[in-house]
Amino acid sequence: MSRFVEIAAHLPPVSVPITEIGRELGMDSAQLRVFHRIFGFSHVRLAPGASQADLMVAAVSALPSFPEVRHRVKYVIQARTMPTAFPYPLNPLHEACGRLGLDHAVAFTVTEHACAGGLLGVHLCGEMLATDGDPDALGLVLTGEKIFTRVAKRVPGSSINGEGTAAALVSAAEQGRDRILAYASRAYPQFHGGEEVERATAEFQQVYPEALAEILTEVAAKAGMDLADVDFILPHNVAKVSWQRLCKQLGYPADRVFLDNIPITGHCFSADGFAAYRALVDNGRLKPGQHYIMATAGLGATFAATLVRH
Amino acid sequence: MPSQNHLPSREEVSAWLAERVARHARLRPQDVEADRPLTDYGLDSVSVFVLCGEFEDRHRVQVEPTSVWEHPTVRTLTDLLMESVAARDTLPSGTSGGDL
Repeated sequence: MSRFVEIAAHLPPVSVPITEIGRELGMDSAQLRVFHRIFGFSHVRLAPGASQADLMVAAVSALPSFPEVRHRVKYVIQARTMPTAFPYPLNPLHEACGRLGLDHAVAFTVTEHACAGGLLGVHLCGEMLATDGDPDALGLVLTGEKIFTRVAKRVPGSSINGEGTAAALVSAAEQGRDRILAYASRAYPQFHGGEEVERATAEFQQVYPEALAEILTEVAAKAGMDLADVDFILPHNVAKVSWQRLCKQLGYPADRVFLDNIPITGHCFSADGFAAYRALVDNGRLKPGQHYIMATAGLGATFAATLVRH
Repeated sequence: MPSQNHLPSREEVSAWLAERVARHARLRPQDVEADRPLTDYGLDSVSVFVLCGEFEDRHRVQVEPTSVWEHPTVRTLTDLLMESVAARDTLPSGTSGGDL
């Protein structure tokens, strides 16, 4: 397995109230009240004038060790929910790599796992580094996205989205903090595609909590643990009531699911779990030796979880 | 709008709910089937929470939000709303409406 060497988050400086975004999306006051009081959303962070490359560069620049380890970064993976974000020949990932002095690295994007792509990227980095042969080689996973379209501003019935980004350095070395103990992922391709998702909404509402519960228990079992022994769940920032409901079903304490970022950042695609890690560590809540699960669901639909020992 | 002190009967709650669902789906209330999923009438989770919030305001009750998904039809959601009505007397004085 592998480990996180360092994780950084970039929260853009502009904090926009969801009432403003909701009005643009045609939401009425009753719907906004639900998003605020039941789902837990209040503001999202946006970066007007900043490009996707700017946001990724900002996240990487927040990694304190990056200047010293830049030359060791061999793989760069951008996890993206929006499959097409730029017209050819623009390529924000390659632009970011150029600006960061990472032209020597192999850089590519994963999209099909949507908001679960960040955890897929971490897993892929671990696999590539394990077979690389260079024990000093590192992977860099980039998450979080620029919101260009109306569709990207929200997940219907679930979240309002922001432009926070994150960067994670991954190593194959097993010694040290934040060792990755297990990764689990399950795909439900019957929900792939916009129109099909619309038609399958009732079915998805049925499947969603069951699939998320299964992936949490599966990743714990793969790590040889009980879910009850996991100290924190670092979730994707969707309706907090859905996490509270899941905790009730699982018998897992809801106060161990880190929901504090929901009113501050909104849902930032694949970046939520990484931003949650940063907040937990910066606030001194995550102690050495404690275990956490980054857990998420991607539209389309993929459920994924990664269990780590800090 | 009824008095907030009025304790609605099950029949009143069920009829109110059917009327709201019918309005959303542009149907007649009598065409709303009590045991059919609300999603079949185009109500997503936000719409159902909006309905529950309106009910809370009307009757000064609190509906448990994590239970809403477990009550996916007019009949079962009526059960949940009636539970909130039954629990109303236990609310602290001065409480007006719930979380929704």
